[in-house]
Amino acid sequence: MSMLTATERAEIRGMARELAHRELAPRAAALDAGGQDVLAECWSLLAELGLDRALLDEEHGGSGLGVLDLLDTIEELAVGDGAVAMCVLLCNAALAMLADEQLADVPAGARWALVPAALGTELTISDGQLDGRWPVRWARTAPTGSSSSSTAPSPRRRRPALAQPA
Amino acid sequence: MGLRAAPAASVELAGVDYVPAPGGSGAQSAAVSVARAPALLRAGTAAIAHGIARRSYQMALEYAHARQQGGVAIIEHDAVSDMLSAMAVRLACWPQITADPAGVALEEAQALAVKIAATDAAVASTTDAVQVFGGVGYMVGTGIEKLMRDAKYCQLFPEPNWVAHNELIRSERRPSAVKAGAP
Repeated sequence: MSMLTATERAEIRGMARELAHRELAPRAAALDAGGQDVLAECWSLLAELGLDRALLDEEHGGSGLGVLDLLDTIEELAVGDGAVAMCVLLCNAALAMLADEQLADVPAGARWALVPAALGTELTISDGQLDGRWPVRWARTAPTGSSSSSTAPSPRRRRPALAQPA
Repeated sequence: MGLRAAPAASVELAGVDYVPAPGGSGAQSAAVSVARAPALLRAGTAAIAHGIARRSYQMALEYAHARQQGGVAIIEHDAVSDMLSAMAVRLACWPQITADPAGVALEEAQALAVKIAATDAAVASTTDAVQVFGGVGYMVGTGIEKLMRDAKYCQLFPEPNWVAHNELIRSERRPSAVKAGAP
């Protein structure tokens, strides 16, 4: 539950708006070119502000935002660059699924995403730019995507887990 | 196509042997739980789409004031001002997302509906923005075509909107007043 005051919420939204205007929008073309180095630069700025784990409380390095606060922040970031905003959304959704004892092992500033996998599995990921084998660190059962649709099979419907570059 | 800094990739799994993770249903310290993740992803995608639509409107409005054609700024041409007006209306009609009093739970059907509405509006607005820019809008250097691609991505994540429509309707309970076989 968000314990922030209205003033604090407005400050966070303003901070995200400023970051989008000053840091993200000027880099939008480079981000669109798939520049992972540029994304890493942006991500370090976001991590400094605690937006990579905004939903977590301060004890776990987060900002203690509520869901609606996070949505406001993501919208402001998307004005600068939608892909960075999507990374923030996915990272927060992934970390919010971990139990507290697992969060203790999560290094600050890393980017996380949900993938369908299980503990002990090695993922081979290739999209023409990114090649590597990622170890699956934790598995959580969680439906995402078309979990109840019979018309659109999705790998997301089973056993997502968290993966991070080795 | 869009959101290229957040690349999607094929994932190949080998030797999958599911081992249940310890713990309960998500971080006790976080504002959401596992069961609420789908609604968070959908509402978040809607927020991203709205941000993209805002950016496209800002850029199109600025360009329409600066670009001269026929001796006047192109915003003076009805065809252009109509498109800008339509974009402004879509932004003004952004449906506010609500949560429970604790600020934790998003309602699933509402998240689906907002995601559909926001992403459809973003695709329409970014398409209009490209049109306002004219031939230049089709070129990469302006950055306006990127917004159209990004908006299209949002229409397809975490599921295509036509699937979201199906899920939304299936989640609705059948009205008790409607009898089977009634038109």
